[in-house]
Amino acid sequence: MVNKKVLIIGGGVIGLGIGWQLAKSGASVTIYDRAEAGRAASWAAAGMLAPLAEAHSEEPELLKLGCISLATYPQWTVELEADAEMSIGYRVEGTLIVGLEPDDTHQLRHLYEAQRQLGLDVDWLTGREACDIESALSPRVTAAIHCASDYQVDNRLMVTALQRAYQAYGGVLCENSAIERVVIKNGIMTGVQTQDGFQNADIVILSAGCWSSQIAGIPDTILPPVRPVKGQMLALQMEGGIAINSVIRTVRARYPMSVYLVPRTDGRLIVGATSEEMGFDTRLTVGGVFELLRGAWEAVPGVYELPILETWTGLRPGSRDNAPILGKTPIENLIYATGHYRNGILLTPITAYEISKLTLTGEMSETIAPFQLNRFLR
Amino acid sequence: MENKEILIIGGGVIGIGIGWQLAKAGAAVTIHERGQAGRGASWAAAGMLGPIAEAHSDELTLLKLSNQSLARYPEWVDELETETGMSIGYRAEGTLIIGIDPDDAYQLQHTYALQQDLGLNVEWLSGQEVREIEGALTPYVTAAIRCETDHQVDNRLMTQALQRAYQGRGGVLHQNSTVERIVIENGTATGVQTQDGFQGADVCILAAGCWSAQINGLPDTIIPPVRPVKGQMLALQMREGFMIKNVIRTVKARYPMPVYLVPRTDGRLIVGATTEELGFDTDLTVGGIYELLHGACEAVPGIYELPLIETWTGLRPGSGDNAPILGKTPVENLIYATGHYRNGILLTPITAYEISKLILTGETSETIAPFRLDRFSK
Repeated sequence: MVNKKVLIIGGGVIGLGIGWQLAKSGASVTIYDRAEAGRAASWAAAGMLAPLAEAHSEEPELLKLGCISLATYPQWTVELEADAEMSIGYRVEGTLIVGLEPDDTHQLRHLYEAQRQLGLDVDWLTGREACDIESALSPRVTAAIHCASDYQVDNRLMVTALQRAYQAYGGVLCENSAIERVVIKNGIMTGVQTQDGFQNADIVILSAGCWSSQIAGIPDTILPPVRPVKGQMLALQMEGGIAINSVIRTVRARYPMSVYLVPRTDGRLIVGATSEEMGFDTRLTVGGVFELLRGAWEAVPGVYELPILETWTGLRPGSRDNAPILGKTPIENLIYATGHYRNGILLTPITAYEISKLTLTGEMSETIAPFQLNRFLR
Repeated sequence: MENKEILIIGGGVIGIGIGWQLAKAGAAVTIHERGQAGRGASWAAAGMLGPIAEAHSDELTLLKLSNQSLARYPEWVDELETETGMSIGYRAEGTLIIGIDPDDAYQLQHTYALQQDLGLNVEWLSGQEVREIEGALTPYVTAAIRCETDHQVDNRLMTQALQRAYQGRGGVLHQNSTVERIVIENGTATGVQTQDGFQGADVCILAAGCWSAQINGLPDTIIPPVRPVKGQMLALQMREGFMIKNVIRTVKARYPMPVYLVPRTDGRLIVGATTEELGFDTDLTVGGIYELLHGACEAVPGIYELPLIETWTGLRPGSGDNAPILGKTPVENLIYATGHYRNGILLTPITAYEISKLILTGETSETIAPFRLDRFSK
């Protein structure tokens, strides 16, 4: 079984992660990326590993998957850092969700109750207690939820590490190489058509993020329901005594959107993100950048003086129910690993471990079974 | 006189403008520019020709010079566009200074009274009247001053046109060519030392903007008192159905700074600018961009949805008294044309015409006489 020929469409963290695990097991893996590997949603992300902060009571299965993947992160980090011989900036300082005025406190309280009902490990803090943890927080912080187990990783370092580890195990990466179509014969996937001709494969894995529903050759009825959800972001340089260690998130009682601030070990402070249904549009807007700056400034007033290093947009691969689409499809030898929406970085380890296992053994684990495409086909 | 060899230090609009006029008169002109020509303050500017909107009671000589330069703009535009066959985006729609709340209206009244005392051609408008002129203005606008004769030009187009016109007349332009020192012998400038050796000249003109004080070889007593004053700016893209026509400026009763919005014929909308004494620092900052976006959104709420297409900083060459330093110096054959601060684009025609005349005739006109360096040694 280990000599299977596997073709992966999409070289983001999901495709690279699966490819790395497969190549390590001895499979012959080729990844096709339409552009540069890992430079789309994988690069644009903030790298928060926050199943608790993002928990919704109507998404219990997703929360469970997120928690399992988070629990896998220490092992994943050790393995990847060893294989790639580089750090991926995994940090365990935890996340603070802060409120800045009475309306925010009300919303925080509501979130806290929901988290408690889900049995999550969260603490309620007064404004002063939150400021004791992060002194740069606004003195106006009224209350906070401390998610001590919501961590972060430097997603750009992880992209670089995954690519390095994948290639070190002999994985082949074809960049700027868009798939023209997948080739299906008698309900069985046989390979893909590229600009260089037909490439046969034992298994084809679709992990093309928000472009997944645009692959030619897949019957309309089983196209994954994935769409782009635009996010605008920016990066600041921490300096002049402004040092933040925790991930900080605001709630959005007053403003059009909440923001988060994610401190990197290299001193960058990532601020995100809008959430816009604008198709494949990737333009920054006045309103988007304005709300990010306002939200960040209100939470951490000291950022006012900081340099802006970078502004960018990314496209999250959003599925119809915000959960990823993982596992087998009605087409034999075609596997999906896409639609990770806001949770791609968090869910990379569990996706890579489980999909590579499925590819090698043909067996679907209980962990990913709820996330099969067939939930949309009922 | 027309075969003089002229050496100009600095290839911004001032240096190239003078060079163009001199080359046209038959002089042999060489410009040395430390970077790319016209990519310093000339490129960063907004291109407002706003002597009336910028009028201060304690800068009456500067106001007079500015009005003279504005009056020469039609002739300048005609001459430059004819020589180059390209448009420089001169627009005569006028400027609206608007107030958004009662405090602003009070400040506007003060400005209006001053402008009337100075005999300037301004008109007081109610909120409703100004919205009839620019329908995109916020409904909260309380009052406005219309400065009908305050126009604008596309400074980037002008920069390109000047370079084309200058070179079309045989002017020599050395880019990425830093002047190491001005060579002075017995109180007379004889040329400059560059990386390629000594270049002799009959006249040297210092037009190096905020770098003017850093040129070696000048006696300390005559180093022009010019420093960089940082400005952060951004550009939006207007769309059909949302096109502002007038230059719009706010007053700063409430916020840290007023903003201006300058519409270009190509649909770009320039928003500026901070004023920061930070030396040669050119970082964008959270506070700077936030205040620009905030001020612009308050004045014209509809821009919230527009794409943000560019952000940048520029360094204005600020002199000791905000007025330019023009004309002869204690060193023979050394002429200054620098320190134009916020008014470089506006003052380019009068500077180019008067400094080139000075060089060709040796006579300082009444127009620029008040702006000589010797005013600082009194």
